[in-house]
Amino acid sequence: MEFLQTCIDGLLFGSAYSLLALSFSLLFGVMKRINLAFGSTLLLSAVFSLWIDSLFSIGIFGIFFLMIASSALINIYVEKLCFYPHSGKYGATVSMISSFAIWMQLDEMSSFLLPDRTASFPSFLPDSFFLKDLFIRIDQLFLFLIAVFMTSIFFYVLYKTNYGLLLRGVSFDGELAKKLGVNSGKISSFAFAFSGIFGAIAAFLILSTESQVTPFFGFWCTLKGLVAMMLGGIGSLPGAIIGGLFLGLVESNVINYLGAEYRDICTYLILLFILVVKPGGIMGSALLRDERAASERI
Amino acid sequence: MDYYLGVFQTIGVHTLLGLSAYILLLTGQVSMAQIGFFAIGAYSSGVLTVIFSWNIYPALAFGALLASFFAFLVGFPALRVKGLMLVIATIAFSEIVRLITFNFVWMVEKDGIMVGAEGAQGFREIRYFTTNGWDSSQVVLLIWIFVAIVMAMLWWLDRVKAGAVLRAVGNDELAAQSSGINLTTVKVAAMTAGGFIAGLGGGLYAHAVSYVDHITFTILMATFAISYPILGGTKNVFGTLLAVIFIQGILIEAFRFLEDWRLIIFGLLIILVMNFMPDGLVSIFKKSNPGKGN
Repeated sequence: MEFLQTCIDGLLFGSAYSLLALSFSLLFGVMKRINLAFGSTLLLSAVFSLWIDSLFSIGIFGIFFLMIASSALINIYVEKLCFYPHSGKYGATVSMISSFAIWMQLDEMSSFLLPDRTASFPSFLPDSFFLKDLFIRIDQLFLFLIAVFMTSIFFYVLYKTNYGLLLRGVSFDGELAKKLGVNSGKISSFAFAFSGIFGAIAAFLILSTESQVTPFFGFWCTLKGLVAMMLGGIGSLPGAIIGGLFLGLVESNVINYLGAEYRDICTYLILLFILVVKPGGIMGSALLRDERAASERI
Repeated sequence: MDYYLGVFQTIGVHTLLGLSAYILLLTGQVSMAQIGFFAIGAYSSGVLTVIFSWNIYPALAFGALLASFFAFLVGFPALRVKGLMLVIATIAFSEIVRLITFNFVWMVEKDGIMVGAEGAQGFREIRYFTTNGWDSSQVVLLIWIFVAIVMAMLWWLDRVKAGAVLRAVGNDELAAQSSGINLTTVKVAAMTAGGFIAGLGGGLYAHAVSYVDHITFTILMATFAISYPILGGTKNVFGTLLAVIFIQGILIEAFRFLEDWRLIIFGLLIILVMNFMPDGLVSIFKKSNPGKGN
């Protein structure tokens, strides 16, 4: 029974990770870029919206939409400064370092807007309930459903719309796409804005289940999103969800049976193990496997 | 005066950290594990001088060797992953090391007080230099002697065949492999050498500031380590030194008067350098070469 409760807690908490992993997998899986400023963008958009709310009291829906808009805009700013100018052999690394510089900049701005270090975040979700002996948090259940719903939107945009086709084309071969007349700058901005919108929805839901925002939220988002996405598999949308749930499951069980201080060590050991044994992640995309197979064959 | 000595000390230690990433970057590996090796060097040499009362030189050597041993071990599995996957895998390694230092407790009683590593409280009282009567300028001198030795060796490396082999692997693995270079040997050797330099830097850092804890070894420092050679350029070994002086000396120290705005300007300046100097900071001293991309 205790094990079951731990697993339920883990799975429900893991849905937050899944949401973050989804927003990450667009940039990493499709664009093949690491955006270290991802979490800081979400933090800044949340803090900015709270700040506007404190001035004009725009209400919970105002905060929601303002977060989405500001996060998309900040993401475009990050893309124009860090990712658009860099391509070529070290392009991915150089843009990662650039995004690191922006990360510090955005965090500093957040601390301007958040002088008290913490602020309460409005919560709208209903309370928890007991199912026989099992304690279930409704808000986290809601998070899980949203994660599944967002995956389907994501899937639709990526595989059924024109933009999704162009996006996949640019990520597959940027040079070729350019020669065929694709405006890759616009497509890349679109991808970043899209990931910002997804991230903002995820951040809004997570913050309202936590009902507070702290300066550590940004880094937490980046790290957990990255780890959950890597566990699940790069470039695989169901993989992002499964990776998040798996991460939650591992964390809650480790906390229960080994102690909280071993939580992160175990997570990273599993990540290292999976990366070395199966570099594509649990459900790594076929594309990645093919690339790898090709390079090994040569 | 002490303030300037402190700045020189920081620049020296960060140069070692940057050079350890530089040698890996020559082979085309982007590693965030350097800070993990740095932590191993800092903790092991600190334990040796504080708990076992070793002399500083064998302690530093042992710290560097232990770090290079771990780098050797990390090198093999890391060969299986490339590019951004290697970045993530090495981040995972660095975080594991950091979390171990977070939980690492080894305290003994000495002269009536408890000394040693105290988990989340960090490793305090690494007082080899003060108890043996070194003053700050001697410590700075020691650090810079090591920096000079490491830089001279890396500079020399570029003048012999081994350097050409490293760069060949970095430029085109396939071509290097087909001309008979053993990729595994080269990459693991570069990783081991990088681990040695980072471990040396960690040992020097721990003794120079007399206090280390897990916050020193976060992903932030790992990103700093790899950003020095990238910002400075891999043309030659001086690029890394220039980048450290640019970031630690100019952006962090000289801009202190900007107070809270410093980090905001800092981010923008790094990005400007990245965008307008694709060959790195060393290109200041060269004629511009417009045909070359990053």
